[in-house]
Amino acid sequence: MREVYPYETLGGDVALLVGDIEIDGQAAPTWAENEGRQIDLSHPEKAGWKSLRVPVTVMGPPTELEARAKAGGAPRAHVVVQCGFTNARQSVALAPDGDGNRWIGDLEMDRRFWFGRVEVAAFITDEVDGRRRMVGWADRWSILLDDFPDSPVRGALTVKWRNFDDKETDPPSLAAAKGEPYFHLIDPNQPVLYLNSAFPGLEPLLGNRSGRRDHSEQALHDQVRSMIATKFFLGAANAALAGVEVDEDGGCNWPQSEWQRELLEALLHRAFPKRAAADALEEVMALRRTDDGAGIVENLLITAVDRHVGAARLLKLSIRNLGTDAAETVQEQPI
Amino acid sequence: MTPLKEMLVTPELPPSFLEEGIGFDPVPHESAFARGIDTEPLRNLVHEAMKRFPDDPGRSDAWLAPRVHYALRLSRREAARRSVWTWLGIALLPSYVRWRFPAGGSTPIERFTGREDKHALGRLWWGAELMRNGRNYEPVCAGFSMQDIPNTWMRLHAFHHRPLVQAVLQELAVFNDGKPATSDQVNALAKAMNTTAYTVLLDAIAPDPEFEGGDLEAWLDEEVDETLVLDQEPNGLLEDGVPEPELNAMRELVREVAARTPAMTKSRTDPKAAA
Repeated sequence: MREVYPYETLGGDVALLVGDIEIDGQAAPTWAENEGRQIDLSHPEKAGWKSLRVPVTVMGPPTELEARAKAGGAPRAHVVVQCGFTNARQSVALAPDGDGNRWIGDLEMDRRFWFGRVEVAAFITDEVDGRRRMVGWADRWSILLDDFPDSPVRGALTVKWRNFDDKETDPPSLAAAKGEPYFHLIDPNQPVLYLNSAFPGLEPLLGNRSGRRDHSEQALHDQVRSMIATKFFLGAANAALAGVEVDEDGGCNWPQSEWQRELLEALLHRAFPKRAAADALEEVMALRRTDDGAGIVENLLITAVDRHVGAARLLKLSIRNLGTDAAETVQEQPI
Repeated sequence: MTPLKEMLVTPELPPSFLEEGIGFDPVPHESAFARGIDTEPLRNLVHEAMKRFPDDPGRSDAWLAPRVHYALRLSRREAARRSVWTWLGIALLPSYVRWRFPAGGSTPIERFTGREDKHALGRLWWGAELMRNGRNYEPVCAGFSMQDIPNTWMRLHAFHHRPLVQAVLQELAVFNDGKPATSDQVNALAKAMNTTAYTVLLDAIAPDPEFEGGDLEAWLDEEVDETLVLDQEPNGLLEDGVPEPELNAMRELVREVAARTPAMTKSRTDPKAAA
């Protein structure tokens, strides 16, 4: 949903493009992905990079920018880099390149100031009411460092196999889940799903394999996967909501944890597809404060999580798989 | 020497630990930190603060925050690891956490393991990192003298913009005819400035300079002598502060926003509110 501003903003698209990046002075073109707007530093992270140079280009709608310039405006472009984990912010004023709708520059980043996930935003500004205000925004880029797990929303949930029966197992809290198939660690920094390798049959059922599963095994695999993911996202959503702070006037502050914010945004979009995320969050937090609100919010979350996980789709596939199996096997005892 | 450690997984803390500091053994949960850092200077300074401010833990913040930053030499990247703060809160200095945030007998768990603006020690370190002006820790003392600065402003993305931070601290420190802003004023300005930052690009008014960190390595490696800062203010990392033109540009913006925020001007002229 588009935000509404009390002044005229650009209607056309603003794009942030990333060129061939350099790591420690060496070209590393393959790690920037324009389509997904991500720079993945997993490989250099392991090797311990020191400095990063990212050439950036910002482009805006030519006709609108030309009209602004003719009307006495002076559009400019900035790129701002922010990292919630290191509370760091760095900006670059870009240089004009061409006919007034294109700007270029370089981001120079020193590794010691960044951690986890870094957001790169681009803005076009112009003079409005005596102040240089934002009139155009590009979709943000992410720089992913390998010291932080993938977001469980955009990427796969981080999964680790551990023997819960082992007294030396790491983390030790897994011992409390001995005999159970899995344990969710819903940590604001690092959410992890631990699977119990000592649980009979679980590893063959859920582990990676090269060959295809037969129909019934695939059905069970999908249902177990769906169940675990549903429980995780529901628990994580409740933890994320607990991290929302509400002002006296009802305004809400998103949780500090990036993945918690992303998860809430994704689920709120599923629950309220026509509302801006911030408005939806305020409504949910207001509901939670009413007498019956907690239950209503939980119902909304359950449906949103089911859709997020694709529970209905997986169940349909499982039923179809079982149906195929049933046709091929003889039922000894009808239910 | 007591080397810095981490707790990679946040352990479950029993109520007896939150209430009385007993019933939990942190040792099985500890991991070595990647760099050798002695935490004894930090511990000594924290204990010194507890001695100096026995009856007023809140007032110790302004004294202790620059010293925590001085004694615990971390890069931002290292300080971003919450596992470090978890270990410091649970294993090294739990008595300080309970002393600073007694909360009626059971210290909230977020003061041991929470995010940087809630964690008892993390808020001091990060507050100092965000509010120091180059090597000058004076703005840190000013910021922690107004408790709503760490409690409210530190949550805002805008507070990562270094020229804005210095401008806000300078304006609020003398907002009421040379006296500090009230709690209401600090919070009202935070809200108004946050709203302003949705439309005004702070960096277009005053660029937030590139992180250079040229002397960071030397500062990280320097041996810490906490006895030098018991009775005098420490100096921070040798680094330039916010340049005057950028600072003045942001002060102008802060004044402008304050002037059109009714809660600020109302309480400024209300002697009771400003008291």
